[in-house]
Amino acid sequence: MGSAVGCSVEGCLIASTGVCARQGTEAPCELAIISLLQSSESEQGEPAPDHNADRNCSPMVHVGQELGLAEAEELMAASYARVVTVLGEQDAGKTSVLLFWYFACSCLIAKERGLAFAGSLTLPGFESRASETRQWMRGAAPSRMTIRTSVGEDRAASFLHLDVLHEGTGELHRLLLTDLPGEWTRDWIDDAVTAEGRFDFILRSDAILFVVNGELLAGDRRHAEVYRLELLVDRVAEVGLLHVPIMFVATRRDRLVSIPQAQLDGLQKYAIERGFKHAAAHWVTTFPSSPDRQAGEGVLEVLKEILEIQRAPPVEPVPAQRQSDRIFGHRDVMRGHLK
Amino acid sequence: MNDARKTIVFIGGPDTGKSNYLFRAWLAIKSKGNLIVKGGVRPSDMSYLNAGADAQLAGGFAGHTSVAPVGQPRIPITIGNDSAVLVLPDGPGEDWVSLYRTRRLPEGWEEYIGSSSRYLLFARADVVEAGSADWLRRQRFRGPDANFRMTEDFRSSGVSPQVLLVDWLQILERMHRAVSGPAEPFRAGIMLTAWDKVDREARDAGPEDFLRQNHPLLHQFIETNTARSELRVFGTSIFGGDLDDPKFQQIFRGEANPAELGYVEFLSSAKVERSDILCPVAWALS
Repeated sequence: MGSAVGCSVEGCLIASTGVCARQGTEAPCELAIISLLQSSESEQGEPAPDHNADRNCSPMVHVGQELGLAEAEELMAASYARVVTVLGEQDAGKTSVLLFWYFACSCLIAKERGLAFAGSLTLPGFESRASETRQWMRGAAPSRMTIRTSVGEDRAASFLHLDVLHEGTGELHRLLLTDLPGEWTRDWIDDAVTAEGRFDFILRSDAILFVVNGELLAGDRRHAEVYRLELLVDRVAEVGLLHVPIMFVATRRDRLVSIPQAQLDGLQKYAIERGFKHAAAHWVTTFPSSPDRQAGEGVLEVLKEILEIQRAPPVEPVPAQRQSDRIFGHRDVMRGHLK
Repeated sequence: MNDARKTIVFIGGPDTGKSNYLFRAWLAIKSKGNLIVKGGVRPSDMSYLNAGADAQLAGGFAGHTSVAPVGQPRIPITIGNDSAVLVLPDGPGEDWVSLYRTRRLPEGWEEYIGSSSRYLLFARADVVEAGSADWLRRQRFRGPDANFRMTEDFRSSGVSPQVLLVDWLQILERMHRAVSGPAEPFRAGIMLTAWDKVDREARDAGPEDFLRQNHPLLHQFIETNTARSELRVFGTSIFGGDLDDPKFQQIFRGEANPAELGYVEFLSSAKVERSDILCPVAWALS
């Protein structure tokens, strides 16, 4: 008696081909239906986002590339988790930052800073994102070290997972990190309604990172970049997240001859004036372009700051008639109609 | 799974030493066992065990080509008045590696995950850590310019053993708890095989320290999870020496009976202890 994989997503032929249509891999995504029975009836049926719910089925293996919202919720129920939303347009360096936190754990650099690796249900996810970083070409500066994050049309946000133990306090920190395509951020800046639904999860954020390619803050595009980032700050403020700590993370510090500190300071000031209670700014180098700089400079400082954030206070109570909009589909707020 | 008899499940990729440990354990059990572990009802189909025992008694390891498992290799044992069984799940070692990729347990294997299951996970101590192909690690040990002097493509070198082991431990623990509830202990031993190939100084520091130096992700995972799981690391040497070492070869082919050789090392109260080859089995069932 084995297990059968099926899927009710239209067009997905994993039951016959063994390949998940949404991920393009053999590993099923979180909408797969996996059952003990071999009959074809079991392969159709309600999508089961939480496939661990039915304990009578063969115990299932977590998907591993990333966690869907249901799996993330299971982890949040087991232990308080910090949801870190990582925003930023294409090529900002979002995935590289997350990858460096994983690398720092796997080679003891994080442990030396008092943070020990305690587990991750998305090890395959980190490893596949790391794959491009394992090709070396002598002397060549890597122009792109991670594969561009892309998701299918109907895909919801997904999370990378990292548990770290803060050795000083003995506290276990559970991190759920979003790895979103840059297009999502671009679309949200350009149109709040287009992004509606995609960013519902952001209301659960314990911290929000605004990742920006540091080189863009220095060149001819600097004013245009600041303009777009200010709009993004406005979007986040409009959905009612002024109490959530935010951090601007400017990447590619190593490529800058002179650091455009004024632009970054300006953004921080803008956020505070907009009403954010906590707005910080960091310069980081993930993968350096020359041997003079160390990979990962500044990256762990961002992680440490996130872990030191106090638990976010509860959101302002919402009038009774809006209760049903509260957690998901905060549509009126997303349209900018409230506040 | 309602069978109250404890099951020790052998887990590991290809060539990690699972079968050779099973055969060596069989030789020990067939002769007199140890203080705690004795033989049980002799299995009726002995072809696989006999072939492996034969290879080892003739003075070497049972290799891939010489023996292939037929049916389910199992060794019934007794611990005091209780019976238990050592099981090597049917299928090539590649099945465990494919679990990492496909997230599906091979057909029929879910019967091994139960409240009475204990797990021994195998990895070769002498396999070079593929994770050395990581920017931060290279930078840390060889300086920031080390990465810029390289011309290699490690993209298809496969997943490193430490990532596989942490992934399996998490998968097994989640399944184990889903089936048996949160109160049932999850106990897994990490078997570092070919321990005799590790240099003397590293062996003297013990298997946990070896993990810390060579497989830091796995080492941290074990250290940070001792409250919720019972995890222990064993350095195992089937014959007590490196068969590729001419000096040891002489001893081995001389007077020694392979069935009496071999040892296991582990950390106990901050000291490295050495014990007999069945020690991990006794620990798993204690």
